[in-house]
Amino acid sequence: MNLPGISLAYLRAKPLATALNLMLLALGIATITVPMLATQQIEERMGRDARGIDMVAGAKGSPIQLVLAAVFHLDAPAGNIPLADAMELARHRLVKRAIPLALGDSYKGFRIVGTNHDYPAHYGARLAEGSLWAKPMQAVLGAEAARSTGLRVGAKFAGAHGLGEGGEEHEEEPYQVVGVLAPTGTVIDRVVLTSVESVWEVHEHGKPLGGPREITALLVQYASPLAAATLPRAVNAGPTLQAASPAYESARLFRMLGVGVEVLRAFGFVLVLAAGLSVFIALTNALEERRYDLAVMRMLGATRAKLMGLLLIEALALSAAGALLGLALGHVLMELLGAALRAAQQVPVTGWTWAAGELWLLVLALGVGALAALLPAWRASRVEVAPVLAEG
Amino acid sequence: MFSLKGLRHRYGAREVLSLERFEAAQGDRWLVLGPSGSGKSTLLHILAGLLRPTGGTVEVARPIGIVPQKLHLISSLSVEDNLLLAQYLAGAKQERARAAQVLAGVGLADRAHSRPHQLSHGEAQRVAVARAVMNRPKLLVADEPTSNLDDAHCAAALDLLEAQATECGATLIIATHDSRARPRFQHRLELGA
Repeated sequence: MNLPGISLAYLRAKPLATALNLMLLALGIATITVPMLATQQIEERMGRDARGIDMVAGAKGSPIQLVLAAVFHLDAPAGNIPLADAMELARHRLVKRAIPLALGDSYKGFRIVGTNHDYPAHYGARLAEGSLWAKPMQAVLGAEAARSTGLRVGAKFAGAHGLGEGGEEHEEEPYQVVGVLAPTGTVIDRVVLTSVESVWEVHEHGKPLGGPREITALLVQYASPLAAATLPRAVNAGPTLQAASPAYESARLFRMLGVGVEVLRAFGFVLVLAAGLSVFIALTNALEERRYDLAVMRMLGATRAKLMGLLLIEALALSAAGALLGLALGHVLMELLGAALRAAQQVPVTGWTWAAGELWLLVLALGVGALAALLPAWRASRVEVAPVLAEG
Repeated sequence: MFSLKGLRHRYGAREVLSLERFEAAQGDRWLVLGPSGSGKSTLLHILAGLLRPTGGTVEVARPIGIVPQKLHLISSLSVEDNLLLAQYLAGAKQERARAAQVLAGVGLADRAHSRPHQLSHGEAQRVAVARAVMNRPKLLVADEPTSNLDDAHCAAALDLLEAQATECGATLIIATHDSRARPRFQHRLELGA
């Protein structure tokens, strides 16, 4: 028998009220947890995917679309650019490294990316099986693409036109899998790599060769910090290319998404405050119901501090349980959402990760609980024993 | 076991209790008689330290066991936990063996895990007595322990209180307006209305 034991006995004695307060708090915490986990993972993931890429050059249009298409492989590119213009940019003195990307086809929702060996090297990818492509129509699968499609080295597959499932298949130009990459935790896990020439071959099948060649984008690493000030302006001034900064466009994207995230977060805080109010009402009502109990406890020797502690512990136990339940619920919801996104080959997020802010959510819930209990606890400590016992 | 001298208590301008001297030795049995409003409960509350008198001196040997008129068991706790609560709140060591011994003493050995709402009034009163003696009090006070009881239960309640006071070696004070208790007590304090 101790104060927590007595507090828990009171909570158990009112299972419905306790469950409702727990649910309200848990929903509030979960509503804050899900966007917190999602934004943290997406920011981390995008940061990893865009690391070392200072600029993307692609067709003129929306710079966000260009970055989403060429760096994160989440959107369709606006168009292609002449290979000659791209190569001219690649040879620029302010360019340290330029990686060409040719997009347009996919296999079971995983994009087929025509590129060179610098692309897997940029992400530090290692082969888990086989080798990199050595000639056209050889393909190397990212870890997630291999796991999801079940393709192994030696398998053949036909790419489908377009970046989603259901496009027309290029059955006459099958790829052969020559390698599978080990997981990197980056966008390269979710793509199928091949040479730029493969993409050209697939799309020029049956058509006369010799026309001007195109690629989709060029991933550029600057040779000098000075390039950031001059190179994008120079690129944008030309007639065919557009320059976009992954860091800048990602931040812009997050600012736009941030409004929705903030609304969701604010809604969660409102729910947590409502839960605090509910705990306050429950304890205030309980105070009236327990006047005799409190008087008897004083009669039995309880100090005023112990009576205060009794109600505080009750509120804190409720808050802690609600917060933990909310965090668990948030992680489960995040995992369900992550499973749906993974199935759609979107940004891979999971519920089985931990955000530093979650500790603060626990502190917030305990703070709200303590605040809600303060007045009832103080009133509990002021119960006059003799008049209450005398009134029977 | 206790000594009250020049005791006065007022609620506002109304004086509800005035006692020049009231003393009891260890093992004494006292009956405090008087009609409603005569100050019986006030006297018990002062003795129990629940009320500070407006005048006079109070010396009481501790610990004190109290059996309130309405019993007031904590409904969310089991019978055993109600008994252990008395030890916990008094800062004493909690002894389940003591709880079992006391419950056996009041004839409720098999009700340790019952909830108060599962008890009859007579059983609840015995639990209230058991709770009052858990800390081996030197003074055991009971407020109207026989109200609303028939003769047989009235006698049983008084037997129980006397037996438990004897067991603890405690002084027993019973406040009542019930004259049926009068013949059993040599020491009586009559309070006027």
